Amino acid sequence: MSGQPIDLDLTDLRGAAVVMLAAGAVLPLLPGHPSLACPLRRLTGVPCPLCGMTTSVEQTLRLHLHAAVAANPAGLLAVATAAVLLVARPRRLVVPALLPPLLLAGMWLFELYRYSII
Amino acid sequence: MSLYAPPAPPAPGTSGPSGPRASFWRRFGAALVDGIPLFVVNIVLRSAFGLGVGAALSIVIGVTYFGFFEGSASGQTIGKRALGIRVIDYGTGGPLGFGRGVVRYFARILSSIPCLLGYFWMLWDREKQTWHDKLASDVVVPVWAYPVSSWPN
Repeated sequence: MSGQPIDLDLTDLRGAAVVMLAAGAVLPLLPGHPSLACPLRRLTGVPCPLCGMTTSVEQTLRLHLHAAVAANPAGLLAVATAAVLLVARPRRLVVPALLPPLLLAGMWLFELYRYSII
Repeated sequence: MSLYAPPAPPAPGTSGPSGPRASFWRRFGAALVDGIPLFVVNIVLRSAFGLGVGAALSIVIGVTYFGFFEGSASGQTIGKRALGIRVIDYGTGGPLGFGRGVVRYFARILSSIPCLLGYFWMLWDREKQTWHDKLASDVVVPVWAYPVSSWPN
């Protein structure tokens, strides 16, 4: 049933957390500091909910929290969640079905405001 | 963080996928195995034929590769075969066929447009589907649960 809370797969989330933290730690060290340019913003000028996340995660890992929040506050949340998943290793993570879309909507509103779309 | 362990059943009062699903690591690995050679071919074609013709040839190669292999009875590209996963129809468990394999290829582009959000969607989706899985009405599953009899067809 679609309204039921979702029992998230922690193996998948830990995998994604490792990739995210590795990217945030390594990308600034590479020549030219490669980053993912948002195709949606390049095509339309409109940012997507994940815009600023690479910067935010990189800045969070370097404890530049002000710069991280300015890029996308969800980067702090993502790094904190990744740390809990990898260090505390909870056995389950059950979230309301509406949480992911609401979180993404909040992130998108922030980015739309940051880029002066709204 | 095992690549092999089947997922635990959902907790009471919650719900998860309706069957075994391929893990993030395996899908990520398969995407790299398929994507890196195709990326190199893309660069070579663009260098040899220019941006427009090179990009067009790359799309033709991508359509043919993913349409054929993911539409086949095995549902396995070379990367998916290497990582022990396959694409099957969400409703029947059967093959997608070339046409839906092509749809899935172009739907990947949609998944990529908002900073790969369509790919990350599998992390919280109940059926672990990306946007391109949803648009092609498929699921990606482990071979240990859905064996392949022969490859590619």
